[in-house]
Amino acid sequence: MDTQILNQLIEQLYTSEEGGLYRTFWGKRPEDFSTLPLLTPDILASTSLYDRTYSRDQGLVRSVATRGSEFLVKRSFVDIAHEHLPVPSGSRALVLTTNPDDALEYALWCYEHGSIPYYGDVGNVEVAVFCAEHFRTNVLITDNVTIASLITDARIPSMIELVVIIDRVHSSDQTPLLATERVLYLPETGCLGRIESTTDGLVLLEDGRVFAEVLDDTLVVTKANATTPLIRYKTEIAARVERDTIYLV
Amino acid sequence: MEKKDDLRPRFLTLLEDMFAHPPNAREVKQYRFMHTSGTTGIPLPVVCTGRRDCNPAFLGRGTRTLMLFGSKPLRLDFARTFADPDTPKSDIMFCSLTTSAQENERIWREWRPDAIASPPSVLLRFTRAWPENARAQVTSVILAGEFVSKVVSDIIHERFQHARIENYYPATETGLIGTQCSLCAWNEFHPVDGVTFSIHEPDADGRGDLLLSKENPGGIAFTDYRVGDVASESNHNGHRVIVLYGRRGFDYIKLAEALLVREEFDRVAMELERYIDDYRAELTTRIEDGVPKHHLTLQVIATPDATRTGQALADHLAAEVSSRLFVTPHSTLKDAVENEIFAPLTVLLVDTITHTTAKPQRLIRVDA
Repeated sequence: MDTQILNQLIEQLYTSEEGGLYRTFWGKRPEDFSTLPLLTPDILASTSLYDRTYSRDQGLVRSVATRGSEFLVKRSFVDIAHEHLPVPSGSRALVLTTNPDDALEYALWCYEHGSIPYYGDVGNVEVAVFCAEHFRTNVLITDNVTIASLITDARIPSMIELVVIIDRVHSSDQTPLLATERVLYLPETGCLGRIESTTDGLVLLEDGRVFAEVLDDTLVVTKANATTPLIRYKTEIAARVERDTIYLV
Repeated sequence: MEKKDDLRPRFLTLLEDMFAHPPNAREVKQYRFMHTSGTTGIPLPVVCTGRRDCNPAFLGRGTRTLMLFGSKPLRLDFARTFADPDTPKSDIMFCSLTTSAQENERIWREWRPDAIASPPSVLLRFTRAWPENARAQVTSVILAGEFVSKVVSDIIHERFQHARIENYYPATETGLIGTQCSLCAWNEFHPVDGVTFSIHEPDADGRGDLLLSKENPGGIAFTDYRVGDVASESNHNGHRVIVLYGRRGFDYIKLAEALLVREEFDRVAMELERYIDDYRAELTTRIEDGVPKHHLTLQVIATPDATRTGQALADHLAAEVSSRLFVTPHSTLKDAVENEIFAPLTVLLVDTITHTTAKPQRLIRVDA
């Protein structure tokens, strides 16, 4: 995302007839992206959902809890479809995550990208795995808590060839004997990029829809979601920059 | 008569066809992976093509639709229907009874849903603390997924006086079975187009197993399929209607928040065989403070050599059964009592078990 696009985006938001968050938050018309104040979960929580809604596209509404704030978020179906997830087209994906709203988003994404999802209930893993075997699911979309539990209980369906771990926190642990992809994803932002495990740590790979910065050892992201664009959103994710590469700490 | 187990190989054949001829990227949208609840044994994995025929009933009812159905595959299917750009626009939110009071308040205060689709007992619980102005902004209530008793129906009408209230009769494996017109009583349904029905071996009151036949484009066809409900037949101006009485007569009782299975009662009784010689479990559902609460009564014939007797034995068995009996895959009756879904278990020590039906049943709903 280059500077010109970022400046166009903030001008659009400032003059938009929908929403009102940024006009209120920025006060005067912003002159330069780099001087914009940082948006935080607290500010999202103190702004009504309708003041944060910049598009009339229909979508999913869900609750989000960060460390200190809870608020409602709307994710339009268009925004969900535009995410980049490393799930191959033609696969059959078992989607099994602790948070049911996360799983629903990933399953909807699958349909838009040529994969048939089976949305399993993490509260009833036995049934989910039983049905996943019948459906011959070959990709598992999950989170860190769920994959740890599936490994401990030896319940990963037998035909799984790829595990995609989507979460807000990651470690460099490997999934035994299975190819694994990791994705950084926040419910309020959507996908922030794939993560690669290197000898120097976890690297956040570039995603064309996300502008990432590290300020005060924290990841700050800008993402032009249609419903609620996030401009300089200060995540609660610790990060550092080395040689233009962002590492998650 | 077709039973659920008869469907298993037919759904497997559909799956095998799909594996043999994998859909392309555009065709995947036609496929749905679902499963039945498993009330009659192990869950039935179901693959269907096309849209569920009951989903359009949930569209165009509001612009902010709150859905309280718990089934995950069902949630996905609803979300896909709402995501279709050709359908009337509505945002959608899925919640369950685990939603915190704070989050629940944020939903009615900030998001302000104007349509709700839900099993009836979940609806009553979820909206229990909603103030009058929050209920008044709801203009559409769609009920499905659970038998609606008259008392529950009356409370929903009273609570949502500004809403059009519709009640649908679907099943996961068959899709939509019946809808109601303005003349229908709370438990009467017109079979939808393509559905025919009969009543298997009706008793003196005309009640028996409901058998369905349905052409099912995108799925399998059903012929005299025992869907699992007891019904009789009535007539509205020359049109046959289904009169539904719930699932009485089988070895399980399905509730929105729990599933009582006779085998589970048998298991616990076996574990407590030192005390229990025979038993009968009866369920009634009463409305208390505006929400349904389930009351379970266990008639127990105690073993002759039980070391405790009288009230001490009854209290001991109530505590033991409550902590051992699972009413969901992860919750015991004790948990459900703590969550105020069930009243504390009542144990009655009896010499002879009273059976109110011709066929002695160990688990029965007595208020249907």
